[in-house]
Amino acid sequence: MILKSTKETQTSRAFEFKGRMLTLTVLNILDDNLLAIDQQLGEKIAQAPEFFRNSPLVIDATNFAATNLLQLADIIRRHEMVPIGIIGSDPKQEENAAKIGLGVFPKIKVVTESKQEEKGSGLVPEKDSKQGSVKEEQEEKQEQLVPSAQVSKSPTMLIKQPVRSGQQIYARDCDLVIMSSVGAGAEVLADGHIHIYGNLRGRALAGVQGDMDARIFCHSLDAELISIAGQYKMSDDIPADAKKGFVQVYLEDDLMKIKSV
Amino acid sequence: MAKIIVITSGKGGVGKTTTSAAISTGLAKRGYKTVVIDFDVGLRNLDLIMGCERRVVYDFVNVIKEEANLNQALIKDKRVDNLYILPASQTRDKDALDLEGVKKVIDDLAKDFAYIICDSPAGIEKGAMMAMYFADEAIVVTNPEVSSVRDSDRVLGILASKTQRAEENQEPVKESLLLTRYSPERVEKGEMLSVDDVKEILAIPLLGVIPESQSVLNASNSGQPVILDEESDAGNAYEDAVARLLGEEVPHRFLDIEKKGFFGRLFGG
Repeated sequence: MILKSTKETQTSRAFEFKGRMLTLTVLNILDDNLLAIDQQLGEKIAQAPEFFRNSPLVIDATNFAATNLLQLADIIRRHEMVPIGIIGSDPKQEENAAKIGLGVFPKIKVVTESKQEEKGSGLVPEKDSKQGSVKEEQEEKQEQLVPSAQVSKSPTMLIKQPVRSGQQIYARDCDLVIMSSVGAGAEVLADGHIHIYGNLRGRALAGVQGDMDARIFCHSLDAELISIAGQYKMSDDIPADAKKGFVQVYLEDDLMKIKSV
Repeated sequence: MAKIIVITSGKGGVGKTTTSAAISTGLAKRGYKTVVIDFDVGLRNLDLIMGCERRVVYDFVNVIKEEANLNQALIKDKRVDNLYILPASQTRDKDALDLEGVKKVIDDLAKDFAYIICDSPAGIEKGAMMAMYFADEAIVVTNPEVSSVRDSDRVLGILASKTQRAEENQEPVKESLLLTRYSPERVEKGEMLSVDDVKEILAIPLLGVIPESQSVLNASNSGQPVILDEESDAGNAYEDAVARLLGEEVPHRFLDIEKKGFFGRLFGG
């Protein structure tokens, strides 16, 4: 991919505010025993230190008003992560957060059921959630900040040329559409769905950040490897009749299913 | 302004040098001033295939290092007018090539020549990258078998991303497929990939199909590009390919099993 730098001289504005969707990890406090948190955090990070290093972290201590935010933030920093904010709980907690330089994300609803429709642009409004005390704009912001692994929301990445052997395409935070074939020895990855309007001969990995609702669609499946949210099947394990025609690959009850569309 | 065509493949031994020799000879025969450059530094073969190995005094690397000028290094072909060869060095290796040096040589050649054919070495390392970097067009030489097709696919990916045209966002390199060592009998038996199979996997326009032919070995032994052998099927197929390269519409021959008569089988070819 070639990045072009557009040299624009904006003589009037020095900056602009942009609404962006970013994937964030939330530290959900289940027990406000700081010693236990410190120790268990250390153990968790030891499993994949590079993954966690310098990660921004949002603290969700909504159930524990008494949590000592200052000490918690210290613990996080000692483990080489960066606490950036808390999820709004009560006013006192929010005040504490402000004192130690943490931002406050408005209260959110954690969405547990998976959405039936996946919309490319992503805002999934919940019509029945209007409660008198919550303002409209706050509600919209809440939906955007739902931390559960959902189908991605940035504009879909569109590839119009065949993906050649040795090439790797990664659609971060979005779906991937390829208007040609994926050659043997090529790799296509997406945080969301993968649509291939051609033959899949290489490897396709959908939902790489953990989205188990992600699917792979292709005109013909002759893949070396297919994977959804980490669960994978190699070419030998794909039944021959699943390789014919327009198929979709998805997870149902943790099992990989391949069905014709 | 010269057209720079790279003959590349990824896989070794598929017929790049044979093709470079044949196509440059074919273009020169049609009146275009053509130079063919051997980019395989250290393992040069183009001079052998063109039959000028005894006339190599200075080579491509000498010119890049300004130890000789182009006129001293270029070898004029004895058989065909308008045809020149720039041989590679045999004593040095690919590290002797650098992008600036190659660019200068190609720019100098572009002033006088209509076609610059770059005979790429096998692989995707420095030599191959240099050969394809300045190309306007690419002929991807492929044998109809799985490893060659996969390597060609890889090369197509590199042509689309690591060439000057790709990096400067100009019109992309015009790619075309040349299928070599094609045997309709083996395709029929299912041992070899068919033209359609390869076209489907590589998805680039087909320039030509060169049949497997004994005349190719004879040609390289005698130092005469196979296109000059008017009796040979491979030679004729190369003529057709040159015609298509120049924009003519020529039907593909040698795709079907030929029914040879008694004398045909007796005398081969």
